[in-house]
Amino acid sequence: MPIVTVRGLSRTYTRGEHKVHALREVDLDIEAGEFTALMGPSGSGKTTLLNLIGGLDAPTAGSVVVEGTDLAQLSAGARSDLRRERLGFVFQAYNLIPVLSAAENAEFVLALRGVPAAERRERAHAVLAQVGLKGLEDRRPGQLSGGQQQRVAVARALAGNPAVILADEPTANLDSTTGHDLIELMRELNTRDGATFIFATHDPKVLDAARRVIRLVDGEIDEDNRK
Amino acid sequence: MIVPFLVLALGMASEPEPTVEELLRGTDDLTRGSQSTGRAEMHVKTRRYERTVVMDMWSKGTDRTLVRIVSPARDAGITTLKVEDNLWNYLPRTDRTVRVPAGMMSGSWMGSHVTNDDLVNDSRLSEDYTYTVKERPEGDDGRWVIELSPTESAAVVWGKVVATLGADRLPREIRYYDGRDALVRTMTWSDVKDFGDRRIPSRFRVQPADQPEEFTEFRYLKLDFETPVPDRTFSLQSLKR
Amino acid sequence: MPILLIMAWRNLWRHGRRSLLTALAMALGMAMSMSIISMYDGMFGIMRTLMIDQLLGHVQITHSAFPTRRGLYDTLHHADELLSRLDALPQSRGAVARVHGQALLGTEHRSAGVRLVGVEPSRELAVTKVQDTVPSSLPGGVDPGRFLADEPAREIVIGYDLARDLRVALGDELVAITQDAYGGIGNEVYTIVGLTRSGDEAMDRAGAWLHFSDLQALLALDDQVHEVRILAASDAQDVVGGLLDALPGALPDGLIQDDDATAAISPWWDIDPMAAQMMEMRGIAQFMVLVVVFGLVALGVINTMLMSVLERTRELGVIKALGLRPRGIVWLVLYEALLLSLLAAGIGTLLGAGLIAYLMTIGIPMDVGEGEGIGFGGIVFPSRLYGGISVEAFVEPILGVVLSALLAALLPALRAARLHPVDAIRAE
Repeated sequence: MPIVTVRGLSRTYTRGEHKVHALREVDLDIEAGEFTALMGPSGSGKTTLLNLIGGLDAPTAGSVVVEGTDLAQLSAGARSDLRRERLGFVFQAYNLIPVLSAAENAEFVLALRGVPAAERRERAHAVLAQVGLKGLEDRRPGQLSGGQQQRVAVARALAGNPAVILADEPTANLDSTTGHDLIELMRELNTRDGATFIFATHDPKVLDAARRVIRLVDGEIDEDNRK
Repeated sequence: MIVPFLVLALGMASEPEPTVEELLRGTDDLTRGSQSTGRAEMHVKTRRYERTVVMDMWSKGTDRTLVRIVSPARDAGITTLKVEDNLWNYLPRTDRTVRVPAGMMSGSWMGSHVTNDDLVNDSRLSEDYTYTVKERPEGDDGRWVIELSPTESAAVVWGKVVATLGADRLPREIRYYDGRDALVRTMTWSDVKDFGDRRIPSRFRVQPADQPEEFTEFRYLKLDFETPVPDRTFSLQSLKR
Repeated sequence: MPILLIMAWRNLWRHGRRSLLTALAMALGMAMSMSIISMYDGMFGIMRTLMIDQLLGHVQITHSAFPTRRGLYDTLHHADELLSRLDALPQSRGAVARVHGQALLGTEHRSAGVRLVGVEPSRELAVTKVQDTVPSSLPGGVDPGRFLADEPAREIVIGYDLARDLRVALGDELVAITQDAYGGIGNEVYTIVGLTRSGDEAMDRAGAWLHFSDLQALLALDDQVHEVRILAASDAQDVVGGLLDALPGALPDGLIQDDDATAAISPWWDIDPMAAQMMEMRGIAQFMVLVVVFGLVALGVINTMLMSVLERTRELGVIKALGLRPRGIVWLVLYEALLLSLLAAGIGTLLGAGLIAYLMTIGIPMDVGEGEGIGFGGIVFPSRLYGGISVEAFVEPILGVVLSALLAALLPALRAARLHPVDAIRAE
């Protein structure tokens, strides 16, 4: 059974007088352990699709089912709960909480879940070590490089053992080498630990690493290639 | 009017059948005369106090009177002068002469049931009222009962007055009623005595209708209609004597 | 410690200077309201004391008709025995008897209808301080003289305004004329020995004090008095209540000799409900001050918190995306306001305590020129007003600053909670 099932998903924005069809009747299944990239030109709907899967946005039509739960049936609060309990997010940049240390950022979701302090601290240290940031636990985001910050973001997404990690252009603000390292890291987490990733990206390096590339054009799936 | 500090001769003694006007005039002038000197005792009983005041009195003509208190000691020397409608009190303790202001005219005179107004009011039964004779004496028996109503022009507070006189033409009782026909006070005369060649009631009592246990009674101890009373007696200067 | 609280605390220091300035402004408001409450404590305290001491007493005993009719005959008999019994009551600090009358008072040329109060000066001095109504100086260098001598000597103390109306001065003689208890004309000459200025219009313009033996003589009242007033051993409600309970048993036989009357025992709040009400007004006045001060504080907090929320739109969006429920966002902002207000409360308490200490020791001068206290409504205030101290002076401003900050932060907090995460993350 797929972790994420998308059926007939449409999202229309109203921009002034115009209606923008960001997504048109998309059907998609994501299985556990996938490392999937959503690609396409700007405005093709890849971020919209990612936000809908993450419950950050509500569809105009169609359904998103995550681990058997239809997001459309959930209240805003329950969607918050689902994100906290079952999903991981990595955003483009600067998505760490600046007043919290690397470790505190990493354990943030666990803290929201009410996990005891000692347990979550241990977990935070473990995931930071996993992403190669051992020794930098007490640094604030401002004291970390862009790549290190994104690693913290990955660690945070990972810490809660989510069903899926959704990453929106994670390498967009990183230099080529750092971006490459981050992709390697996520790939390794995927192969070694079985973490499921879905990316929205147009970074060729990500596309190279992805095992499934879904190409969106004008809000519709144009290609869906598995390697 | 009827306050009897001064009494005088009725003057028309022997005519067999007086007119009602003559009777009333006689009652009016019971307190007026050419001149008089005398001493009276005033006994006041109220809910609050009971006391006796002795006073000397002088009068001349119809509207000049001087009264000086002899006892009790606390009030001794307090002198009241009435000239026409004016009333002054002289207070020896503080050597003050105080004219009784209009607002105080309805107040009690010396704690009695006689008001300051009673002292100066000169309305006359014989002139300010119309009358109906209710009873007439038969010879020396019986009495006069005359009901009086104020004329429209009269400055009188009463709604009705009922006067009772003896066959001897001397007043016995006058009842004063208010505008709603309720009795306000009763004046009674008694104890007819001879003072010189005048024969008059020597006791006079004022009884307020609403305080049955209260009264003020005057009693004449001395009355002299002969001794001349000089005019200067009734001046502000003589108040202090 | 909850992570939201940690975040709120650290957020506060992201713009340390702004937070400190806001906290300082809040602290100033708080210190201000603390001083105002302290002054209210002091002012209403002294007002109550003086009002009860000089004007009303704690309890008055009268003929039952006297409070409304004030009649000459509405008297108490055996006042001496009543006073000595009252002196023996443990709940009583002291008692005085007074005689009241009306008279025409004046010279050959001018006179006025005047309210006469007969007092026993030696007793009053120990109990009511009525002597204080004669000030130590008067405008224009007029000599106010002194209060009545202890023994009756046909002395009179009259209101300053009355003296001006009658064109008399110290040493002049005044004649009082009245109807005495026997219906006679009570009259006597008195020498002016003092002028009062108590701010009690009725007494200053048309009142006079006499030795009560002199007034009894004028009114021919023998040994009767109109009023016995008692000061309780303390102003505490239970002591006054105890006094009220003890009084009926302390009344001698024959106190009231009218068959249709009884003795009235009236506490001050029944005698002067307006005064009692004024004492209660204090609460409203104080509340108004707090509302104004903390209304201003709240405006400052709204501004600071709105800025704080606006600057962090993106960050709040991320936090929301990570799964913090809207209610959690509200708490995050409220925690920040709470911590800010606690910081302000700390600074404010220190500042306010300093101001209260100043007000309690140095006070505020209230003199009208020559070191003379102001007379108002029959109470003569001291020339310096001192602040008081109470638990309220601390608790109310602290609650005020915290609650106003939380209330003010609610708007920015709700605004933050309503942020749409997608839009918020995309912002900037």
